[in-house]
Amino acid sequence: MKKTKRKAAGKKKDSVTMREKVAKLLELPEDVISDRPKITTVGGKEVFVENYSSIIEFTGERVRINTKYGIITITGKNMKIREITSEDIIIFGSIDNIDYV
Amino acid sequence: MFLIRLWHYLKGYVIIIVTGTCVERFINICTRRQILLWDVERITPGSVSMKMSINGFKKSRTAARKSRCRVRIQSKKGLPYILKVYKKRKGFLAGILVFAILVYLMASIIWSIDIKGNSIVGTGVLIEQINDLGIYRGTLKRRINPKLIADTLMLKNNELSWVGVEIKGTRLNISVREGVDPPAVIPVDKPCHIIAERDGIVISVIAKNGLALVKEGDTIIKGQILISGNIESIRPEFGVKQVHAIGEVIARTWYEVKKEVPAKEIVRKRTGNDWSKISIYFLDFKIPLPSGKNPFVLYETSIFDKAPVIGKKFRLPLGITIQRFFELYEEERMLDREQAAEAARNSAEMELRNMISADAEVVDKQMRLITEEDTVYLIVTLECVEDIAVKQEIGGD
Repeated sequence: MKKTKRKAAGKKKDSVTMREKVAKLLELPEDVISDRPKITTVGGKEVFVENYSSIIEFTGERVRINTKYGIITITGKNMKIREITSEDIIIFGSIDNIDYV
Repeated sequence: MFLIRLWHYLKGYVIIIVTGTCVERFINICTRRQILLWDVERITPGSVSMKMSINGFKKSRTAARKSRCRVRIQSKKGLPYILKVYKKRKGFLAGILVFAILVYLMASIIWSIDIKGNSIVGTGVLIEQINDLGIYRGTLKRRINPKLIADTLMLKNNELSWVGVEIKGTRLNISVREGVDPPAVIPVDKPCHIIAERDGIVISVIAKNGLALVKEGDTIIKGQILISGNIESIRPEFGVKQVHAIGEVIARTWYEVKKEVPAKEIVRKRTGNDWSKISIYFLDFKIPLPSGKNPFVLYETSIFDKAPVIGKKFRLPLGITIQRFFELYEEERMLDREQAAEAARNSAEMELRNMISADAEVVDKQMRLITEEDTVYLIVTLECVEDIAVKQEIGGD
């Protein structure tokens, strides 16, 4: 089951969605329209993730966030979630890695 | 960030500890239900602490059940919880309210009226004129129109040349400048005489215009015409020419003051008995406390104000006044002749100083003691040299 899920996610990752086609046609900025995750980091201190769907794991050393296009793993030390809403999540702490796995 | 925190603080929030195997699930369900979470921190492998609004906490019950987590409140923070404590203390709340109203009221009225810069016009007179405008200590600040006060004072007092009114805090500051009235000048084209200001003996006459009627050595009395503005022609048929007399008349003048030299004096001394009367005052109102009647026949009183003073200057308008009465007795004492003469001389000189004009030059001072009907008098005579010329319009007084 896990396998199929990942496969599906992978498939979605490569394909261009209907939304993006429309955005391209209307010459709208893609990042506004698309539902792909947008990650902003401030130094090694703060990670700001938009368009996520849920969190899978949360500890001080590892945070895994699920998005429609795959899982984002953030590793670091003393991490905490500064704020979490249904659209975005702000993680604060000393960050070592941000991986798309 | 600060604003968000302030907002959370005002709305109130709870710090909760969620324990369970799948805390992430709890967080996900909460976010999906639009519950805002912040400062989520892992404490132990099995528990997470987070902050949540009060409303969010109520909605998170089902999330806890679904994720099979135990939710425990660690602490409640924010204004609503602080207010909750005070809800029971109605008196306290009322006190805060009364305090706020009192502070507001106290700050919006005038506590004191200061008048500065007046020496000719009495402070009491000015205060009375201000009071006539309906402005007292205790009047609301916004009823006061500084311009109206300034204008009224200027109109009512000719001596004032400038009035500045300013409300500073709870104080009404009135600054006043007094102008010296210019002497009534007779226009140069109007004919006038020069007359004597006071009695004396003429030393010199300089008539720049007009006809000098006195010469050196003449004794003159007050009001006498010294330099006439009427110039008569040698031949009477040409009539009289009237001019504006100008000139200086220097004369020797005398001032004399007679003072009694007392042989004995009555000294009043305190017997040591005293009695005090206490009253409370607020602004200008005095409320005497019932304390009986003054038992003394002969007494002197002194008043002590016991008002709380803030800083160095600001005196609270509320306080107590203690009026102390000291019983006195009279004692007759023979005076030392020399001491009495000295005292008489001092008071005589003081009086003389007020009598002589500013530009007079004192050339001689004489003192003598005379005895009239058992009383000794001291006579102090000053001899001065001064200009006694004063202009007077012809035909006028």
